[in-house]
Amino acid sequence: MSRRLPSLAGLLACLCALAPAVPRPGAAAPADLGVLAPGTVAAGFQQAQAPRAFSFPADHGPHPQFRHEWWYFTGNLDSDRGERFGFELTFFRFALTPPPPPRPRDAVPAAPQAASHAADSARATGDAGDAATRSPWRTREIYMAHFAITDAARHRFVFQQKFARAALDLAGARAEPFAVWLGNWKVSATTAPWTLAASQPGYGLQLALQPLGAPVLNGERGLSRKSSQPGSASYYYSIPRLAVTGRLLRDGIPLAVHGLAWFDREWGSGGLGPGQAGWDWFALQLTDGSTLMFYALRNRDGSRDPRSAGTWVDPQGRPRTLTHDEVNLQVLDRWHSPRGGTYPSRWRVQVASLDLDLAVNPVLPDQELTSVPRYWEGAVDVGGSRAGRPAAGRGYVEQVGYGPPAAAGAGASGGR
Amino acid sequence: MKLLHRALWRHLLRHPAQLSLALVGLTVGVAGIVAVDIAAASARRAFGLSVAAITGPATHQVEGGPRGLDGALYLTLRHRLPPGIALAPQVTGYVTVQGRVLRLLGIDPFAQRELGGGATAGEGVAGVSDPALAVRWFTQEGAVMTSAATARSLGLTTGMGFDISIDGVRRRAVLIGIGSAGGADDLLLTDIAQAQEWLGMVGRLSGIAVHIPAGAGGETALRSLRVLLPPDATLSATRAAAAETFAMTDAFTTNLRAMSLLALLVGALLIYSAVSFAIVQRRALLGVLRSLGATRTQVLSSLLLEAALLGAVGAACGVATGAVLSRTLVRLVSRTINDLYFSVAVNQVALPVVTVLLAAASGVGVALLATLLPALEVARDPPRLVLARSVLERRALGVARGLVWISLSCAAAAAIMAVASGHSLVGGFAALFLLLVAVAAATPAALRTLAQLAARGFARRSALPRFALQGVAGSLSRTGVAVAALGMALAAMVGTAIMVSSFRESLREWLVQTLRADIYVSAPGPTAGVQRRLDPQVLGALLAVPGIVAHTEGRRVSVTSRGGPVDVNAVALLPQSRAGFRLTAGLPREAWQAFDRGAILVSEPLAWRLGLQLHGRLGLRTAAGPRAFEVAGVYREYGNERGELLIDLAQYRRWWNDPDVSGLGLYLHAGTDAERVIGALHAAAQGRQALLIRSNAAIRTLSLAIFDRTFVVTRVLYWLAAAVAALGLVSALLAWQLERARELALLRTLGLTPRATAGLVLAQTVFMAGAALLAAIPAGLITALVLTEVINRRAFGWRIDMHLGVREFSDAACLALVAGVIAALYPAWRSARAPLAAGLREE
Repeated sequence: MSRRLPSLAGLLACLCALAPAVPRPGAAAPADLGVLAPGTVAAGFQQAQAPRAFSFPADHGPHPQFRHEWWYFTGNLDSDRGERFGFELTFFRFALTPPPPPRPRDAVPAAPQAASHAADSARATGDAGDAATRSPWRTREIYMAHFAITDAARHRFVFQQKFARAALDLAGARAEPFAVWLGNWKVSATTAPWTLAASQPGYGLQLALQPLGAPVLNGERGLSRKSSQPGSASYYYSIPRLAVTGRLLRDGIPLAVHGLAWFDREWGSGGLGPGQAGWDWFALQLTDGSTLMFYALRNRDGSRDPRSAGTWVDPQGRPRTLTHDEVNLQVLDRWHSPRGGTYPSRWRVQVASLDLDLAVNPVLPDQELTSVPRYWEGAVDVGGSRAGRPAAGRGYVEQVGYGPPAAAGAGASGGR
Repeated sequence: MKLLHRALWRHLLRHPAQLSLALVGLTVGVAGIVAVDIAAASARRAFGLSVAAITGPATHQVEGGPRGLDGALYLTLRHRLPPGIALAPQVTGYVTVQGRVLRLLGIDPFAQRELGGGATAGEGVAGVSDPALAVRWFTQEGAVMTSAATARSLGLTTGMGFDISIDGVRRRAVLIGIGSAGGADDLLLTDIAQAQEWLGMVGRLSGIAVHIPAGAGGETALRSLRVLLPPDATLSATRAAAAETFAMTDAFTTNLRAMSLLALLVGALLIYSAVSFAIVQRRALLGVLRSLGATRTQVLSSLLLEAALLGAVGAACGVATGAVLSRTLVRLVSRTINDLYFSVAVNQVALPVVTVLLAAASGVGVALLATLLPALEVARDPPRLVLARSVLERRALGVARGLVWISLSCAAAAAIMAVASGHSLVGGFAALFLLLVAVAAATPAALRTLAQLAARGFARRSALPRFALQGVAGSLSRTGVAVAALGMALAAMVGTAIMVSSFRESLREWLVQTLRADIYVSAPGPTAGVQRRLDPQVLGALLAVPGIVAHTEGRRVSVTSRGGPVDVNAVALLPQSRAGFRLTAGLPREAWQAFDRGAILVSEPLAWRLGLQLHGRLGLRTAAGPRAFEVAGVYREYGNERGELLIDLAQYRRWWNDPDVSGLGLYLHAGTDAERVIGALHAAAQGRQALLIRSNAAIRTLSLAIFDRTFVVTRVLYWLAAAVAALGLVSALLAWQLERARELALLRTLGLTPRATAGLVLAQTVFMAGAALLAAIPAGLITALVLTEVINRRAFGWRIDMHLGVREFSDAACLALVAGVIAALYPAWRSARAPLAAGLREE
């Protein structure tokens, strides 16, 4: 879903904010984002307009014909000693300019998405042959990554943000074997269980991820519409359950961990609709094997946009699309960020058609990422009932567009 | 008490010329020291800013050989180093925009950001609120950013395209953003990809900025980094590297500081002369006041209070004047630094508080000190003695005799200092100052002796000259100090002039001898630009031009040695070129044989700087790691005051793996017109590379022009000191002659014609100026000797042949003569015209 769009603004802000005292783009509401402003026609890029055929693992790889996309890993972990952790590792790809029109010989491959990134870069430079005069640092794509850890026992939430250009293997993605990386943060499927590695001061992760089911297409066969604007849509699929084992390094000391992760993939070329202000996204994994994903698009007037939608996957792995009307969201508590802004902090999620009534509570109140703009994304605990029987689980919630506009850029330095 | 103040003050106010001369003396002395200090501090600050802009918060710097680092090293380090170490690749070079040399800095903004801190070039130069900036930064061909000041001075606004020249090749740049913070001017910031393409460094890096967090892990991190570096890479702490670069200008700034001290010394003597004259002139008044019951303490404190006030006002004027003066001086200083050392833009004038305070304090201090001696004397003597002028002159004579001893001991100390201070430049300057003080101290006694001798010579012929000369001999209290100040300033002036002209002559001879080829070709760019290289295709086209009979290829780069960066001149020399090198150590035959085997020759400045001996070894970092090269000889070289080493081009290529050529020396068929060939060469390079193609005559002219420019500051300062001293003499003589109005009137009643009276006055003042000059000439010769043999050698290691010309003396003679004549004009005119009665009535 379009939940990651402000991050490009964050990237631009990072560059533009090279001088600290300058007003930042993206400091405004997420819908006011410079090049991603509503109605911006991303000329030269392919648009997500109609359902398409997905193919895996090709679609795990990059889609350079689209302007942006992301790979999104969240998960809840337990250490052998019983400590509770949450993690988020996301990779974002942003194209700065449209890819050059494919030359005749390039048009041959059936699945251009599957082409390796290097080949794309070479094509993008326009004169791939002249290696002596064309710098390998040239790029038309930028990668950004966010890495956050929630350490419940120690009441710590840490976050780091990185940027790199898609050149010289500093950052990139490929389909076969699937890999996405930025520096030494990397997820790769070279081996049977996928591996995930990332580290930042104080915390590091070395995990093996085993998908527990096939990818689930969200929206209309994978096409997720965000507003009535044409092109304001994306292709969106999830792998809602991945079994996790591995190590978490805390202050250099390894802890054996296990748990459950969620993988979200989305790409497109459009932005939010003109009246939209932000969104709330829920990815809940229940102990019976079912999962619930729902995103609520918020309008500037405070109402919920009818394009809000979700996907329910039952314990047998059968998905079902949830419409705006089916899901009732109730905010039970609010949290005031010390950096400004007030976020919802406890929720009641009701889906009458599934006889589902869940209470969602954050593991820590402060799981705000100090990127530009800031957003809240954190591990949550889930309790309640389904079909009259007690239900429990864990998950991740993301909330975007709550920071006060003037102060939203204050944390531009990211995790530093 | 109040009456006392008023009486003394009235007297001063009734003689405004006295007051203003004392003030001028103070002002000029203080202004000189302030101006020079500001100029040096501004240059240093600008340099610091430009270093900070490039290194940012980096703690260390990885640098490679002449061709930079292999770009793959950065990726390796990123992969293999622990995550705590931040790395940022940099590609730097020089570009010419509208005739101005700017630093080009290519960065990866993301890596630069990871380096941390808030003062990196990226953050300093950028300051744009345009969200599309990032897109343009990465995707617009030729995108650059710069500071607001630089953009303004180039007349650029955001979005504007402009031409830049790199290695003589014209490129198109677009200003995508203007920033304010950071303060680094004359810097163009661009993406690393763009910089690589423009500078011909695709796949290579100039350096890698490293940030290693402070703390216990730092050493471990450094070790892990060192292990991964290839043999040709060096790792240095940022601050040390920057200090090393600026240390190159140390000799230059020491020179400047020494000159500002000279200005203060001359100023101090002038202040002394003016202030003590103001007291001496009021001796009669003070005697009367003492007779009327003013106590010693009262007189002393009144005079000191007056001096303090005078000093404060003079110091304030001096600081203000110095600040104004420094603007000109800053320009001169920065131009010299750019000519000789590195590109630095001094756009902001730094006003160091310490300098201002010190200058102000020295102004007040000197005024107080100058007052203290005569004031103590006046206060100590019984009123009767104070009233008697003869006592004063007798005492002055005693002082003059005492000063002779001081002068002798200063001269001895100067000699000892010159010999004993080894390599120390400061020691050399100390010797020079002692010498100048010795000259000044001997001047009053010399003046008196000279006047008496001359008077004796005239004794039989005419009474008038004798009278005039006895008058000179008997006025030491009034004029001795001013003459001494002028003598010292003239000595410095003569000495410097001799040094500069000897230097210039040596340089000219060296140029004639060294420039053996008819035409020299090089890629344009700053002197220090390692990037300067000839396009190989252009090179081929140039050599195909008819008329060329032979050629030499050369490569100029900088490599790392144990003593910091060393300039390397790698050449494939023809036998006729070899004859142009004058060895000052080593036998030519053996030296060149060793050279062919891979030994190096070092220039005098380098040998001096690094303490290299014949057959010694110099460790250099080659592409294969450190290697010691044998020093086969030392040669005379004036082109590079940091020094350079000569190595055979083939050997250089073997050790540094660098095939580029920076320049060519072309030998033409006898009788071929060089200008015509130059035209053909330009045509051959047309459209590919704009080259510097010059005949050896043109290079000679240009080199001498740069030389002259370098010494402009020196000349300006010495002229300033001399002019101030001349002014001081004029004022002292003027005051003295005006004081003698009654004496002159008396002479006229005794039958002296107005014309003879004027002649008497003129003879006296010119004699004094002449005496100062006479003292200055031998002293100037010794000064020149100290400057060439001690100062220059210690500052740069150059050996200079002494050349003496008329010009070096005539300037000083003119100045002295003009001062003498000017001082005589008004008193002579007045005494000739004034009614006799009025002159006699004075008392």
